[in-house]
Amino acid sequence: MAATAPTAAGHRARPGSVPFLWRLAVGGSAIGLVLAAARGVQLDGVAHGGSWRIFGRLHPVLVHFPIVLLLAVPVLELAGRWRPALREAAGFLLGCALPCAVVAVWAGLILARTDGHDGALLTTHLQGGAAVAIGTALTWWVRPWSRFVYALLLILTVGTLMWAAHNGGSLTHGADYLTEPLPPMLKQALHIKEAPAPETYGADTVFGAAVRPVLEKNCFSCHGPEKQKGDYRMDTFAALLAGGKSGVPAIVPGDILHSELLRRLSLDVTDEKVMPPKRKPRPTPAEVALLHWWIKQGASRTLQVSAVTNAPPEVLALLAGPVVAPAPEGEAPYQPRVGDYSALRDEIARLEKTLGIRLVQVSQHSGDGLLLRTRGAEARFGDAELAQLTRVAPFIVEAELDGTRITDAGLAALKPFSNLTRLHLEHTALTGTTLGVLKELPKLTYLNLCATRVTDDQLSALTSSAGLQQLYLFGSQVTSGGVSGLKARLPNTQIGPIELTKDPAP
Amino acid sequence: MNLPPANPHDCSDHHGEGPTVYDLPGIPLALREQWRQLETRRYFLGRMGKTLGWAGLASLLGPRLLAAGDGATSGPPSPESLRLPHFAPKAKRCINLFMSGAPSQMDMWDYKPGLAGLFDTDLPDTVRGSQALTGMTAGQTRFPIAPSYWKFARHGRAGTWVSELLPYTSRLVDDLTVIKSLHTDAINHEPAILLMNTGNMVPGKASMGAWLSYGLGSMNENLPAFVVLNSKFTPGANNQPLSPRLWGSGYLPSTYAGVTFRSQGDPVLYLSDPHGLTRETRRKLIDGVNAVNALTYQEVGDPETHARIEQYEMAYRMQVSVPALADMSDEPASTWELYGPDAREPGTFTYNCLMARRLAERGVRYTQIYKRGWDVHGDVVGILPRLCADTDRACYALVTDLKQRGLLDDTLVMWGGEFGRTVYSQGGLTHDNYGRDHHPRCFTGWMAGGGAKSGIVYGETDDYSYNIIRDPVHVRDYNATILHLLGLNHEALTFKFQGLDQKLTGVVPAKVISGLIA
Repeated sequence: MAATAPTAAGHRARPGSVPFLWRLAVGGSAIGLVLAAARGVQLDGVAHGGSWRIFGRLHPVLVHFPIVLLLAVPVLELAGRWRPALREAAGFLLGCALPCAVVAVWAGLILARTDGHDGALLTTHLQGGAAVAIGTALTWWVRPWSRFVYALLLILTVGTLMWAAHNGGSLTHGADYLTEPLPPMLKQALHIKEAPAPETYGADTVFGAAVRPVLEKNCFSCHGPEKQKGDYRMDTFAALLAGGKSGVPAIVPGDILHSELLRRLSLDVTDEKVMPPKRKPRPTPAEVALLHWWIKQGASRTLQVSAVTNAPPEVLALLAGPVVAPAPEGEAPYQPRVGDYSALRDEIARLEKTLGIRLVQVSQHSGDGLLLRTRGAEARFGDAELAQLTRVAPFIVEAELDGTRITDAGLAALKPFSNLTRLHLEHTALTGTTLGVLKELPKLTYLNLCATRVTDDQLSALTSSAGLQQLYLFGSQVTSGGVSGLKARLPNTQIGPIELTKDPAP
Repeated sequence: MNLPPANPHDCSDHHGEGPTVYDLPGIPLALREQWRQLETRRYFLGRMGKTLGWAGLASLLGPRLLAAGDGATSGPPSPESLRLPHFAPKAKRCINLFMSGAPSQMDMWDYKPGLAGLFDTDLPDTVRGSQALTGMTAGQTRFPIAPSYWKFARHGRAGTWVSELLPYTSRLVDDLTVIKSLHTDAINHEPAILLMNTGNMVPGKASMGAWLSYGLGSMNENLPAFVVLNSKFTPGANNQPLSPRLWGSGYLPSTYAGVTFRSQGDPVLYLSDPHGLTRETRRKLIDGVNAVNALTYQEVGDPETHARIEQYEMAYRMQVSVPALADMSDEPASTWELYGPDAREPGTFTYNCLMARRLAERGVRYTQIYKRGWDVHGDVVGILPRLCADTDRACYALVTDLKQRGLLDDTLVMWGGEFGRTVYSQGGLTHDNYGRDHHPRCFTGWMAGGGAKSGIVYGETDDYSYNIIRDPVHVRDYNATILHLLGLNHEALTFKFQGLDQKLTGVVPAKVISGLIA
């Protein structure tokens, strides 16, 4: 490529020399791409997610390329009156702006779909963006052909750009972001409406005390001051009744059959139209009953709580107390059982390799601790090996030492296992003389001593293990006398049978 | 431009990581050429797509993430790489006692005293509704009610009703979670048994055992994570066929498929070395085979090659582990007293239950015992007692044995068939005998240990044991609950195949039944 032909250089020097058909093809496909995006990407207010999300999230960055490029074009065209070389640059920048605009439109649409944005302002912004991209294509196309049409289109495109960009800003920063700091007098002169003050409702009305809090908890995140999915807004009373873009009234006072809100609320959870949508928390049955009852009563805004006499019991219960969101079932805040052992990864890998053991995570939460698994390496796992685990010991919650060569002397190495809850020592040669060390394990709840040589005398060492819930002694040398003695001292410990009843036949 | 001399065997995508199959000595040129052309169109296209994708992503992700993505080339994903289980499990392993053919719920568990007075009366149409029956009874002109032939009594602290057919199991009820409200979608054996085991009536999906070994991995590398035991037949019983697709791995790599242990003779065939072959020689042989397979894997990238390597290794390790497993001479006398004389006879359900306990002790993740013959369409009074006699004591012994050894705590035992049986008689009805057809609308199963709520009866059926009136448990919900007890979120345990995130519970929403969990 070192020898560039002089003709090529000459060719480049002539502005607007790209063949007409070529320009038509490029401009046409740019327009086609924009229209395809607008028609092909369905916006339904549902966050679809997916791996395209990253591209969508780049929209706020990408959108600035066509903005700057397009704004530079009229400046260069004007300056070109005095310095004609700049006019050539204007054409070049316009050409650059075209693909950038198309990409920005696509990114915007994908952002809206993957993150589930919807609403009137978004639609306007979207139309504006598409218009800019199409305008850019037309402008670029007519530039070598007609100066007048070009100038007209450029002005139109840049104007549209300003409007679309402003809408975009309103989307991200809020509609009154720009005008909010203006002095009130100027606002009045410009007919800028103040944001409506949030409506307030007396806490003594059914609506203010119960209905609105229920709606606030379940609905406002999508149909409130911030977002109005499906053009439906529920935080003002009139809009709440009116409904959204489907045109069907959300609430018909006194008519539960024709109130769209109730219909959508009672659809099956798998239905596409159900509200709140799939994967969003459901209102409680009492809350649904309240809405039913309130609408049936006439959806009154002023009905006093004190005036309510005959309502279903769950509704009365809701009216009696403030709406408290019940803690979601089974989702207690996660409590790690052990500390952070991420610094020990190398040590764990080394131990697994040299000892043939496994130190597996109990679950994907590393805070659930580790499980010591000796299966397959039992024959070479003894006291010396156990002693090597000192550093990882505090992170082990369950130790499967059954069948290993561990002896009474080696049990002392269990001292640092401060978080151990389950200990398997069955099928070992233990006689139990050192079981006293288990007192040092405050969290131990499960102890298995089946098929060991532990005797009654040694069991007394366990008498202070109050946290022990399960103890298994089957096949050990413990007698029923020893068990009953232990049971008296450890009333909360469930002790497994030590022998079978001789004849299990019923 | 100095090109190297043209090499007809140069593989364009081979970047010199080391020797390839083409470099092995002594392979004829023509064969090498044929080998080279083995790269199929599908493989080529698939890999091209991936290459382009990775090239595009490379700049975005950086080297660390790319290295993680490389896992695809080193065999199937391990549970560690899946980072499972999702949460701390209640059960580590499962023993599934599968009563293939569908036991009769109202003769064993679902006591309906009111039926005694309705002998030979017609089942009200309102109870049956618009249900489509099987071809075996759809043509019957009458659907006469057949009350159970057997007496029931209350057992345990909860006073659970159990039939006299189950004298041993009835003593266990305080340890059992009896579910009377299981229901399924299928009315015939094959789809129903597939639904129970693979979550789908259509063959080709991964079985629960395969999902567990995929999701949780092995606890003992010397034994398969998923073992299947088939039991001897009960004389006179109607044995429905079983097929390996019930314990297959479906779309999951074959490594996770269940391994059947034979019920008689060597549990696994051809494990013992021929005379004169030492273990060292065997090791060298396997190393050689593995080396060739590893090279093929590098070239072709078919994960099934990896599964084959794993199977050779597993077989080699089982040469030591399986004889020790099958040698039951180390069992104390109390074991034989508990399980009874049937346990001495290899292949019986009782023997398999004892084997299941030994497998559980050794860390096998999922053991499934099939007992066939429950498909009693006629002569219920003659055949059902024999089936119960062959299984009742074994179930009792297994749960008791696990309990005394401290294993029941983290072992989930499940008992049940693929559907229930009808309250109306199939064929002739007398006071002394009757038959029962397939019934998908309700059936009874039980769970024990492993975090299941013990000593309860869950769900309720109507007076005819025909429809569920309280707390239904669909097969999907049952499977979701079992996964939950093993620390797995059934929604998150997925495998991408045919454009779907496949899961055991399928696409119809399933839920974990919290009432079954302790």
